Amino acid sequence: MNKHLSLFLCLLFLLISNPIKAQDLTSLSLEELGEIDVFPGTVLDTHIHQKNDMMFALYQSYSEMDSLGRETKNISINDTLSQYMVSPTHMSMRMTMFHAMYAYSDNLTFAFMTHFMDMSMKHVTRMKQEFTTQSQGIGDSAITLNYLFNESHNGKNHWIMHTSFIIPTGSIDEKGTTPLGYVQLPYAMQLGQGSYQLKLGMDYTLSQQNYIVSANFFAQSPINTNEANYKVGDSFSANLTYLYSLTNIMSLDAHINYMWQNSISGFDERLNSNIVPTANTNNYGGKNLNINVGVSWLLPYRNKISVSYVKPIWQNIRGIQLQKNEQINLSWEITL
Amino acid sequence: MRIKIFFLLFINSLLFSSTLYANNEQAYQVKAAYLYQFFKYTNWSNKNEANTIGVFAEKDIQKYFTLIEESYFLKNKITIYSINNIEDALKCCDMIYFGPNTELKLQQLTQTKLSGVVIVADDSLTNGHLAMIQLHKKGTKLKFIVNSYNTLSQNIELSSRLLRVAIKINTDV
Repeated sequence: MNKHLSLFLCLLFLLISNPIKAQDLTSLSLEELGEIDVFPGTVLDTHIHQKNDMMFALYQSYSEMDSLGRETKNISINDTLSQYMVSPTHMSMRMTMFHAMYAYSDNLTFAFMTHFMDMSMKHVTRMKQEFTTQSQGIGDSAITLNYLFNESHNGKNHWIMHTSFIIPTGSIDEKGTTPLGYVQLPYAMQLGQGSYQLKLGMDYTLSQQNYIVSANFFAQSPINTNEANYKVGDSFSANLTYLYSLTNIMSLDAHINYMWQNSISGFDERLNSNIVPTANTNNYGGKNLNINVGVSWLLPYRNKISVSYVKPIWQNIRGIQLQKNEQINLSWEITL
Repeated sequence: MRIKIFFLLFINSLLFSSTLYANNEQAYQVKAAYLYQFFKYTNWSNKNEANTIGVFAEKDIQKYFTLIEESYFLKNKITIYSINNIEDALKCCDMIYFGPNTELKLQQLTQTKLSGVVIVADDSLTNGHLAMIQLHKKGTKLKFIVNSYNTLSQNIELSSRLLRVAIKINTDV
């Protein structure tokens, strides 16, 4: 994983080290000049584009979970093994997300998103036997509509409504090899969630000369119970973002993110909830508070790259779960 | 832990490489091109033959505007003057651009009885509403605001082509 990450970072560095060439833009019309991206920085989920703009983006995120917890406290592997035959010890997840946006008008932007998941979970049994399960493939997809419904006359304040319809394109039938044989993997190792879901949100953004402040919230809920007879819990997240333009082509950003998720309702009959905590629906959901710091870089030809680091500062989880540790996100965007 | 190290190295390389771009060339190229377009779509009632734009800004910013003089695409020659004080501004130009950190100069100029000059303010100026046209940061793009009241008081007519693209304020005068 780190080999790929370092290669990606090296390529990005080479790209940003290529200086912008002086251009004569006097041949462009007033409209064309107004369409050139000259400042970095927008808020990922809830931004809109100018009419007929298209944006394509690739996001890569790496996250790790490596200690067990119950509510706000850390617990040991032995504590877990006193209740279950197997305990997870570490999970890593790599997600590659493809994102495409099209602006139907200056107020309405459509988006399509899908992603590729690559997950791995290490375990230990009561007999001290260690094993790892893995799953990889296409995850769930989403069709999104961002609608700018209020903007101040000087363009410095705006409100955007966000509506997403999530399509269960990810598998919920992933299996893996364990000491018990080739069996159904727990909920956390499935590529998708199996249910159609609706995600609604609202975003307020204040743009000033050198900074942007954005506050938004999202609520997400499954519409149906999936084919394996369960559905993931409703979730709610609220985000506060501060983005500062360090230069006209480079911005730094900081986010505080609060997330709450309910536990899974129903259960997958292919799983034995007494063997491992991840197979028990009581061990899903919770609340957490994360901080995220990042940097974005505007490149020639309407390209933008970003990198950010996410760290949970508080977690209150339901039941026994691996706690979120850290996450790094890399992204590349191009607007046409 | 290893991804933390990669992250820190990457941030460090970004900060280091930022010295390669001390200024945003493209933003100023866009601003210079806007000035040319504003010039093209302005009708002066009393104007001599020379086409002149004055630039109130630091030297490293002025160089982007002198590119207008060399533009291959220009039909009429435009001369760019570097302005350092109000006295120069009062007698030099058909259009004056106030760059970053020139709020005081802009205020002083608008208190004079200067007329027939298009005053353009940079997007960074906090008193840009005193100008006829203010460049305006909107998201990642650069737009412009036309203050109709200031336009009328200068006896200058901006073409409908320009007004159609502009964000307009004080239109009920």
